[in-house]
Parts: sequence; C-alpha cells; structure tokens
Amino acid sequence: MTEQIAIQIETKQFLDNLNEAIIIASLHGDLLHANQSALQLLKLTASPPTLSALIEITGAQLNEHLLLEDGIDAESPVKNGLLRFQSHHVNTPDGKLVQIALIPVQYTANMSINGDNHFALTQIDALVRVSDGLNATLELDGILDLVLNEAIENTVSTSGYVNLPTTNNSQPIHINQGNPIPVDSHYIDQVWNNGQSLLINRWHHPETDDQGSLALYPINYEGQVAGILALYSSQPDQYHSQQRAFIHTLTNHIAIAIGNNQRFQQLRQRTDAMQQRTQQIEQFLEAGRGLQQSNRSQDDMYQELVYAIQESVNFNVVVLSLLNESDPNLQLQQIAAAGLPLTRLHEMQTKDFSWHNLVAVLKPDYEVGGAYFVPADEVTNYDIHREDITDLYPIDFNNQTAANPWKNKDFFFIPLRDSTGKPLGLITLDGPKDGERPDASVVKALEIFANQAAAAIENARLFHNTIVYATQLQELHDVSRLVLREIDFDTQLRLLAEGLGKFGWRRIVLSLRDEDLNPIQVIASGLTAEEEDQLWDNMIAPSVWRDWLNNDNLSQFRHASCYFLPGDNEWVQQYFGEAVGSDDSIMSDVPNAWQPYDVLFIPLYDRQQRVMAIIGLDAPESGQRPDERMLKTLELYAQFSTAVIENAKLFKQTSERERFYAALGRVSSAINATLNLNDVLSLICRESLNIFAVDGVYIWQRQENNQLVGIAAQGMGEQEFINTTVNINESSYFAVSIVRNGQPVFLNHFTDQKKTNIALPHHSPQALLGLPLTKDDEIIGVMVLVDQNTPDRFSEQDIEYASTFGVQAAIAVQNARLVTELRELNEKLDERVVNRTRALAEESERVQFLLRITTELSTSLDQDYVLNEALRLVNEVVNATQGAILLTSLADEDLVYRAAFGMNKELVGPSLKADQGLVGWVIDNQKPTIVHDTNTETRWQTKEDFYRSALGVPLIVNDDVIGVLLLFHTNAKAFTDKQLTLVEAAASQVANAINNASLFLLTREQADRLANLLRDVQIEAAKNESILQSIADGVLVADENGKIILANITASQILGIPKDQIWGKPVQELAGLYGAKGDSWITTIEEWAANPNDLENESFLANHIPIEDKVISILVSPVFASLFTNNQFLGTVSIFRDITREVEVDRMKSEFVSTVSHELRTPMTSIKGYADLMLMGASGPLSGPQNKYLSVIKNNADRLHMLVDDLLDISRIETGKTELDLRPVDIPQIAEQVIIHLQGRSQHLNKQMNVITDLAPALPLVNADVQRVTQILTNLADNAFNYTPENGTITIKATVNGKYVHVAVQDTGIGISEENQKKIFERFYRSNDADVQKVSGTGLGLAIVKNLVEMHGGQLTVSSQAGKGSTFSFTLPISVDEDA
Amino acid sequence: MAKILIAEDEHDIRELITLTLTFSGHEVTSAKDGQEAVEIAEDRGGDFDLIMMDVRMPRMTGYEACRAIRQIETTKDTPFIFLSAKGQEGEVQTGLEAGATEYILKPFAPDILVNKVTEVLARASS
Repeated sequence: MTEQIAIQIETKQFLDNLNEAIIIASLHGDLLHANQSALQLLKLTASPPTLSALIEITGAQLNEHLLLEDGIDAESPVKNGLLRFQSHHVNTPDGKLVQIALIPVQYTANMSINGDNHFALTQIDALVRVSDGLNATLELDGILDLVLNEAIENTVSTSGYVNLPTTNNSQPIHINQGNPIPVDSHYIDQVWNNGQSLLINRWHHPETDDQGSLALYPINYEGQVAGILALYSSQPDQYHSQQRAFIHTLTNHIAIAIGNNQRFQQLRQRTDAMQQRTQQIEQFLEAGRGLQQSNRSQDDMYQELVYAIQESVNFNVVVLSLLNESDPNLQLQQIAAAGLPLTRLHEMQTKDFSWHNLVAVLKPDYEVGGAYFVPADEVTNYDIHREDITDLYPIDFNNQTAANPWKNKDFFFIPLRDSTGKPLGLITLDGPKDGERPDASVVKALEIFANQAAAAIENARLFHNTIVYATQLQELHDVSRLVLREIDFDTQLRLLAEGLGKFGWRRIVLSLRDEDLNPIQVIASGLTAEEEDQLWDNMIAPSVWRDWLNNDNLSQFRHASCYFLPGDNEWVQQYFGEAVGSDDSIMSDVPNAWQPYDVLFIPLYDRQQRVMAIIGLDAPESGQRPDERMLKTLELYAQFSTAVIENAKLFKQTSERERFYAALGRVSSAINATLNLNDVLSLICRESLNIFAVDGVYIWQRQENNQLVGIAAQGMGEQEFINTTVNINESSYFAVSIVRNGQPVFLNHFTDQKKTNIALPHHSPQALLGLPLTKDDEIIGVMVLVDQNTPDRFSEQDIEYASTFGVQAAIAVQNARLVTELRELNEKLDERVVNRTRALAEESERVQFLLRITTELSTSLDQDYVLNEALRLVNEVVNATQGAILLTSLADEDLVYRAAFGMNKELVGPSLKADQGLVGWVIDNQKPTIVHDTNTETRWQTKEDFYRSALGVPLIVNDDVIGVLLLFHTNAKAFTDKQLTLVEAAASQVANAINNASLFLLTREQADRLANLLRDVQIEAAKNESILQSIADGVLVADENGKIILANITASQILGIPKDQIWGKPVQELAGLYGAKGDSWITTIEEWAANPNDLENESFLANHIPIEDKVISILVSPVFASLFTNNQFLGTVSIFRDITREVEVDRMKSEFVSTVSHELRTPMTSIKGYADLMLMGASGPLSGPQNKYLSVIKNNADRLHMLVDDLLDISRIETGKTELDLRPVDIPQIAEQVIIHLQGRSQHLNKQMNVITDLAPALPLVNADVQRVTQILTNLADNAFNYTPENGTITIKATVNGKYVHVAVQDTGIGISEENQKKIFERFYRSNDADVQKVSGTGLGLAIVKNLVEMHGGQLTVSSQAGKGSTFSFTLPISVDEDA
Repeated sequence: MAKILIAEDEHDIRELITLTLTFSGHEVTSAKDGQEAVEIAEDRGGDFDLIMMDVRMPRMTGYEACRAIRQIETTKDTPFIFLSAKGQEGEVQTGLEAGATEYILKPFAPDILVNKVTEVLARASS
C-alpha cells in the first residue's frame, strides 16, 4: 500500500458509538481502524490492531475470510457497481460466536471525500439497522417495511414498493410506501425475466407527470426472481452508482428475510403437525385404554371405539363389523356404529355381509397403507352391502375446492386382524366431513386405531373365552372329584355319563367296548324308559363302528378325539344315512342350530390306541351345534373319562392277577415242596379249576410210545380220566391237535365243533381250552380246561394265564420223569460200581504180580538168577508144565537157553534156530502168541512132542528182540489170552531186567577202566604237585590268556597272596601290586599272550622286584607245547626266588668295599703324594735308580687309585646308592669331549690314533645322566684306545633305533675272542692275553659301564673278532621331551 | 703367593700339603683338626687368602669347621677347599653346601693340588 488512508476523527467517533464491532481494512488487508466495540469483542488493546494480533486472536478464520479471500479481491464489487455483502462466523477468544459482516467500502475519485464518507456512513448505518431488523423479527412484512423505508430514505426516493407474489404456498406480499408507483407491466416483466435491475433516470410518472427516476430491482432468492423492489424519485438521475449498490445490498437483505421467513413458516407447520399428531395419539391411547379395560362390556367398548375414530379421523360415519368367532362362513356382524341412528344399525345387522365378499377387494390396487379405498365407480362391481348415508350427511360431491372430492359409494375401510393375522372384522368409514377422499394422514391415524382395536377385541374375546373355559373346567373338576371319590367302577361310569349333563347335553350314552368294539356295558342318561329298554337292541353294530372309524373321510369331522357329523352334510347323509337314520323332524333354520340328525360321538382310546369306550351325545340345551370351545371341553372330558376307565380296568385286572399269582405261588411252592407227582398235579388242577372257574381240568402225559395218558384231573369224572389213553396218531382228538400244533388253543361254542373228539368224561362241553406242556421245546403233555356252561368262555387272556399254569404242570411232569430216570440211573451206577470193583481187583492182582516180578528182578543184577526167578514167578500165574527163556547170542543167530523149568538141566545151553518154528514166528512178528493145540498148529514142528499147548512171548528191548519166553502145557487150550497179556507184561519186565543187567556189566567195566586211568593220573598229578610244591622257588604258570593256572606254595608265599586267591586269576590283577618293576613282569606276560607268534623259545625275562621287605627275582619264560609241530604257545612260567639275603650280602660287600676303599686312599695319598713330590724334585735331585723306583711307586699308586675308584663305583652302583640325574643329554656334545680326551691321551702317550665320529644328523637328545654317559663313553673309548695298536682307528657312532639312540665305539684293535666276550662284563675279569695284560686295568670298567647303561634302561652289547677289532654298543632312551 | 690355612689330622698328609704348597711359594698355616682351624680363623682369619681342610677329622669335622668359619666375619668369603677321600656318596655335595668353594679328591697329585689352588685364588681375586 502506497497510499495512506486516513480515517477522520469524527468518523472514528461515529464508529465508536455503534454497538456493532467494526474493523476497517484497506484493500490490501491492512487494518486501518477498529471501533470500541470491536476492541472489546476481540479483546484488542490498541487501535488499529496489528494484522498479526488479529490473526492470532481469531485464528485462521479471520485471516481466511477477511483478509486473504475477500479483502484482496475487492475489485469485483466495485467493478459491478454493487456492494457485496458477505457474512461469516468466527469465534472470539472467549468462545463467542460472532457474525462478521464484510462490507466493501467504496470510494470513488469523483466524489467529494466528505460527501462520500457521509453517504457511506449513512449507508452503513442503514444496513446495520436492516441487519438489526433481520435479527429481531421473522415477520416478513415488518422486514420488508423496514428495508423499503431505508431504501427510500437513503436514496432520497419519493415512494417505493416491494412486491412478492406467492411462492411455495406462502401468501403474496405487497408493501407500498408513499404513493403507489404505476409502473408499466412490461418493465416489471423485463426485470422478472432478465433477473437484472432496471434504472430509468428520466421516467415519466403517468400520474404526477413528473420526469423522475425509477429503479426496479429483482429480489433474487435461491437463484430465482422472487419479487421486485421498486423505487421512485421525483428527481431525475437520482440513483447514482453508490446508491444503486446500496439498493442492491438491500435486495439481498430482502432475500435473506424471505429465506428466514420461509424457514420459519416450515418450522411452524411442522410444529402444528406435531401438535396435531400428539393430540391424536392421546386420543388413541385413551380409546385403547378404554378398549382394554376388561370390566367393561364388549359392546360399550366397541361403541367407544367407533366414537373415538369418528372424532379423530374426520368421518361422519364409522361402522365396526366383526366376524363371529366360531362361524366357519366368516359372516360379518355389524357391532357398533358412530354417526348412524340405532335403527339404521339394526337394519344393517339383518343383512348378510360375509368376509368372503370382502376378499375380492382386498387387493393391492386398493391398498392404502393398512386400509383399503375402493373408488365409487369400481365399487359397483362388487356386491358389498353398505348403507347410503347421503340423507344423513349431505355431502357436496361436486365440491370444487376439494382437491380430491369424496364420491358417493366410495368404499373406505380397514380390516382388523388378530395377532396371528387372522381376520377379526373391519372398520368402514363414510361421509368425510371435509368432503375429501382420505389422505395418508387419515390412513395413518386409522391404521393406529385399527391396530389398537384389533388388540383390544382379541383381548376381550380371549378374556371372555377364558371365563367360559374356566367355568367349564370348574365343572370338569367337580365331576372328576365326584367320580374319583368313588371306588365302584359302575358308579364311576354312571357319574361320568351324568357329568356330561353339566355341559349342556341332555341325552348321553356311554358304552364300554371290548377289543372288537362289542359293547360290554352301557350307561345311558336322559333317555326315556322305552329307549333304555331297547338300548342294547338299538346299539350300532361293531362292524359298522369299525367301518366308520377306519373311513378316511371321517377325519374331516374330527376335532381332536370328538367327531361331530353335521346331519346336513351330504357325505354324512350318504354315509351315515342308514346308520343314524334321517328322522322327519323339521330342520331348524337358526344358524348353527343343532339338527335332529346331527351326530356327536367321542371314542375313548386306551394306551394301545384301541377303542375301549364310546360316548354319544345328543340334544344340547343350547340347541346349538358344539363350537370349538365345547369340543375342547369334551376332549378334556374324554381324556379324563379314559383315565378313569383305564384305571378301573387296571384295578380290576390287578385284582385278578393277584388272585392268579397267589394260586400260582401255591402251585409253585407245592412243586418245590413235594416230589409226589400226583399231589402236585392235583393241586395244579384244583387251582386251575378255581382260578378259571371252569368245570374240569385234565392233564395228559405224553408217553414214549406216542400215547397220551391221563395223569391228573379235577372236576367232572376225575377217576374216569386217570389212565385213559389217546393215540397221538388220532388227529381228531382235541388233545392230539394241541400236541401237533404245539400252540395253546381255545374253542368257544364247542357244541358247534362236531368233528372234534375230546376223549373226556364230558357230554356237552361248551368251551375248551387246551395248551401243550413243554419242556425244553419238547411237548411232554397236554392240559385241557373245560367249561360246561358258557359258550364263549375263553379269551386270549385265559390262554396267557393257563400257559403259566401249564409251565408249572410241565415242570411237575418233568420232575416226575426225572425222578424215575434218576432211580434208573442209580441202579445202573450200582451195577457199574460192582463191575468196576471187580475189574480193579483183577488189575490190582496183575499189578501185584508185575510188582513182584519187578521187585525180584531188581534185587539182583545176576542175569541167570534174574531169568530163573522171573520164569518161576510167571509160572506161578500160568501153571505151565514147562517153561524156558531163550536169549539171542552174539556169536550167531541162534537162541540159547538161559533159564528153564520142568526140563532137564542139560537143556540149558543148547540153542534153537531163531528162524524156525514157534520161536521163529515170535521173533519175526515181535508178537506174543498162543498155540492152543499143537496138533493143529502149523508153527509147531516137533510132531512127537507131548505138549498140547504152548505160549510164546518175545523179549523186546528198544525194538530189538533179545529173546523169547516159552511156556508149554500138556493139555490143549491150557493158556488164556489173559494169561498171555500177563506173561507179556512180565516178559517186558524181564527184557528190561536183562538189559539192565547187561548195561550194568558194561558200565562197571567202563568204571573200572576209568578208575584205573584216574588213579594213574592222580598219582602222576600228585607227583608233579609234590615236586612243584617242594621247589624252593616260587612257580606260577599262566595260560595263553594270562590266566594263572598253577602256583605253588612258595609262589604264594613270595607274592604274599594266598594260593587260592591266585589260582584262576588273570595276571593283570597282580599288576600294580609290585611297583614299576613288577609291571614289567606282568607287561611281558601280557605281551606274550597277545602276540605269541612273535615269541621264540629262548624268550625270557629276568627281573628283580621288591616285595615288602624282600627282594624277589623273577624269571619268566614262555611255554610251548613241544607235542605239536607248530609249537603252540601254552602260556608262561614265572619263577620267583627270594634273593633278599643274597642282595643283603651283596650290599654288605659293597659297603665293605666302600669303607675299605676310603681307608685305602689315605695311605695312598701319602704314598703317591710324597712320590710325586720327590719326582718333582721337592727333595732335591734324584738319581737314575731313585727316579725309576719312585716312578714304579707312583705307577702302582695310580693303579691302586684307579682300582679303588672303580671298586667304589661298582659298589655304589650295586648297593643302589648311585642315583641318576636324568636330563635331556646331547650325545654329540659328549662325543666331542671324549674325542678331545682321546686326543689328549694320544698326545700325552705319544700314541697316534685316528679318532672319527659318525653321528647321524639331527640326533635326538637322550634321557640320561650327563656325568654317567660321559663316564660310559670315556670308559669305552679308553678301552678302545688302550687295546688298539698305534695308528689304529676309533670310530664313535650314533644312530637312532626306535626309541633309543644307539651309540657304538668301534676300534680296529686286538679284538676279543668269542669265549672272552661272555666274560668281559664280569667283575675283575681280565683276559690272560698278553696284549691285555700289557694294559693296566682293574677288570671293573666294563662291569661298571654295563651297570650304568642298564640303569639308564639301555643295553650294552659287544661284537668282536679277535685281531680285527671290537665294537661296544649301548643304547639310551630318547628323551621324552625330545620324543614329543 | 698366598697365605693358606690348612687343617688335616693325618700328620703325613698335613706335612705333604704344607710341603707342596710351600714348595710352590705359598705361606701355609696348619691346624691338626677343625677345631684348631676355627680357633686360628677366629684369631686371625683375615690373614688368609685360602682355607683348605680334610673332611674327616677328630674333635670337629671339616663340614662343621667350614660352617663355623663361614660364620666368622673375616673368613666368611675366604675361598675354601675340601680335601677328601670321598668315601661316601654325597660328600662333595655336603661340602659345597657347607660353604666350600672347591673339592679335591685324595689321593691327589701335588701338581693338581697346586693347580687347583692357583685356579681358586685366581677366581677369588677376580
């Protein structure tokens, strides 16, 4: 903004006086001024407020509306020459909602500033007033008045008007101020049509003749021209642009006022409608309350209802028609009417008006809401009776003002339906008070009424029905109380029949029926005496009843269990015509009247759904046919009656049953109590006679010969009946037919059954009942009951009862039969016992005999004795003349006599051919046999023999015939089969005995041989054992697996373990007991056992182990079986020797040596020392001989010194005092020292020698004592030097060999003979060889070296050839560190 | 030329040592046993450059004497040589532990004795 717009002081004062909050802003949105009200409203502190303060206070709202959107776009209202009026809402900081009116301020260049300002302020003032007016009232007239007034005043007009033609149902408005302006209508039309204002600066006023100004402004409302504001000024050119803008603004105000007014009108209409609706609902509710008050009569209620409808829905005539509840024809009955005289109502009531007629118009075409409206021109098509009420209510059917005029005969009604949708009736309306056909609101109101009415009618009816029903129930209750108080069945039946009278029935017949519907008992009530007399004769036949009840068509007349057959029904007439008869009584024409030949009957069904009684009813007191309610009541009554009759029948049955079971109990206990068949049967017959009340009871028993025999009877001709018989083949007999059919049968009216023969002492039985007596599905008899008097005496029930008695009778008969059988069985058993006892006695005898034989045979093993004895015993039984036992001989196939009696002794011995004669047969067949007569026997070969019979039995052992037993007799047929069996059994024993004796012999010989063998072995073993045990050394033998199999006493003593704990144990178990040295022993044994093939015969291990305080030498050798060529490894032998004493002696010796050595040194020191001194010249010059002698002294002192040193060394080593300081040792280093030493000696002695080393590269360190290894190598090297002639060669070698370093000192010296090689390691051994003797030595060096090497765990060996040189080798273990 | 205290119970050997050492130019003071040697050392221990004694002696053994001499202020660092016939195992070790510098075995050659003494003295002086 470049131009500062100033607001004059007076303008500010003016603004401050206004109540409205006014803020003035520039076109660019800069705030120029805010009046006091604005400051207060917006809580501003200074004027003008800054833009930012204002935005902050009002938020984005103001910013958006005031500044950015409208303020900047201020061009357009000016351009159009119109002021634009905008209103917005913003929220103030304290929550007030403020309407902001945005009014562009125009100021034009050609207007004097003061004038412009003044006019603008005036305009604003005017607009504010208009706004006030708009806020103050909704009256359109007043607003228009105000606007017009302001327009006229502010534009200095003479007159003006506002015209608003009617729009949207509102009244047209025309407001005029000043003289009316006679504007030409085409101007008006122009404005109306264009929607644009029309300004005529020089308009000729037709009345005043003035040339004035005319402004016509359209009032735009909702996009359309709603009216016109016209202003007239007597001055021409009066309305300049600023005024025009003002007028335009005012028209906008008018538009707002119209809108406000219209909304107000709508609101008021809605309010009115609401009020009306409220009133209606109140009325409905009141009517509804009236309808639901149960203590009012239904008619009153209906009357009230129609009045209420008349009042509410603006119709003169309201008729309520209802359907008869129980009328199947749906006849409508006019119940109540409003607007009709009572007479007219009654008139209507006489006319038929059926719901069915109505159904035709109940179609969607006519449906209006829940109601139906049928226009008059269509209603003529339907036969619907209504009353013409035009005489009562003159209606102008040609009413021009009516929008939709009511026509005469227009049919308007609403159906009433109950809660299930079933029609109750309808409400018909006629004669609208306004002459209009019903509109939606009427239908709506009517609908509500109809619903209320339907509910009320339903309630009322329910209530009424309930009362009636309750009354009937009370009656029912009374009757039932009466009935149930009675015990007597007949009385109960009578009360039941009479009780129906209380429900309005005058003629009642109650008939009890059996299963075939035959009447059993009939009780009638209300019949004439004559009718009662003919009651039985006039009963409808059972077959007719059955036909009826099974006829499907009948079900249409069924109501629950009641059947109502209207006599006027065509089918009923056809079907029942004959049965019920059509009497000549005149039919009543009263609707629903009971007609003379109407039929109402109720069958009563028992639990099996069988008819057990029928109730027939006639002559209702009401003269009406039964309605639903009555039928329901009768249904209840029928149920009650059913229960009563059933109970009574049940009671009767129970009593009968009780009697029956009592009788049954008596029979049953009699059966249990006695076995006397006759008593039981008599009782059964007697009880049957009583229970069934018959004249005779008869029981037949069925015999095995197919005869029925009379066994029991009661009643007529008992004695005659007993023992009468009927052949079961005679089918004409009644009893026989029962047996054949196996089913119980009764024959009533027996006199008619000519063909059946009863075989009973009766001449003319009237009825028979027969039942089979069955036991386990077998018919064992027949029971027959006879009645002399009653033709239809028996029923199914009787069969059931009689069967129960029949079962008891069957049991009795069966029992009797069983008793007989039992007796027979007893006799048979007795006989069997006798037989069995005899058989047992024989068996016992036989067993005794065999036992004797067995016993005799087992007493001796002497075969001859056994055989003779057996033969003798056999003959004790058989009593033969002669007997013999022959046995097969090993030598040939002949049989040899081994025992005999009754014949010459010489006979024993000779033999018989085994394949000839009787003997041959017996052997061949391996069977015993008897020759009954030798004369006729082909097997018998000795013709002249005087024996007539013979018996031969084979002696069999393990299927082999070992001999024959023969018996002979001088008589023919002397031997029986029984004897044969006995002899056979004896022969078996004999054969076994012979076999046993043979086996015994064999066994004894074997045993002797074995005993001898054993004895020899034992002796040998004992010898070995003694030798072993006598050995002073311990001997322990382990087998090839290392298990100890032998150890002598010494071994156990030495090892300190009891002998029995050593034997059988693996040697491994001894491991660890004896320290490291013991381990090597056991390890050796284990290794040998593991790899026996690597062993050689010479392998052995010698070791010393300390055990407790003893030192034990162990020698282990493998044992090989020399017997076998492959030298099988058998195990190891360890020899232990206690060498403690030897060791001790050795030690003492060493100590002695040590002491002696020490003691020797002292004098030696002097000898050597002084000799040396003298040789050194300490005592002056020496002569030649002196010098020589002193040298001898000195040399010998040196030898002595050496000897002592060696002695000390060896003694220390052997006493174990030498301890090794084992460390990793480098052999080459030592070799070097030794070589230096040798070179020193070579020089010193002036003896040339080639000294060579031959050391393997990267030789590992050895685990050794460096001093001792030096000693060893020096010693060996010295020896080599000593025994090798000048210019010889000494080689020191070192190689690796497994876990050892192998060191060798090789020389080219004099060598060692094989013989000497064995001895050189012994102490003090020195060869006698001159070359050896030349060199001074103690003979201890090699012994020491050997000891030292072995102390290191190595071995010292020598290989040499005399004259060629020697090689001494030793091994030292590689250092473990090195190894690792 | 050094002053040497010797102790030896055996007269001949005492004489031999004295002779040998004197012969090689040393000044020798001799004692008959350990006891005497200790007394001499207590009296004028500072005079000696070297002490040499036998192990087995009456009254006081060489080991005891050595330990006693090492307690004397004037002789606690004086070089000390044992002369012994080494009859038992561990003798040398015991001697060295008692405080000896060197150990010479009997019988000894006079030149070896002299060499050893010279060597010990040279070592001590360095």
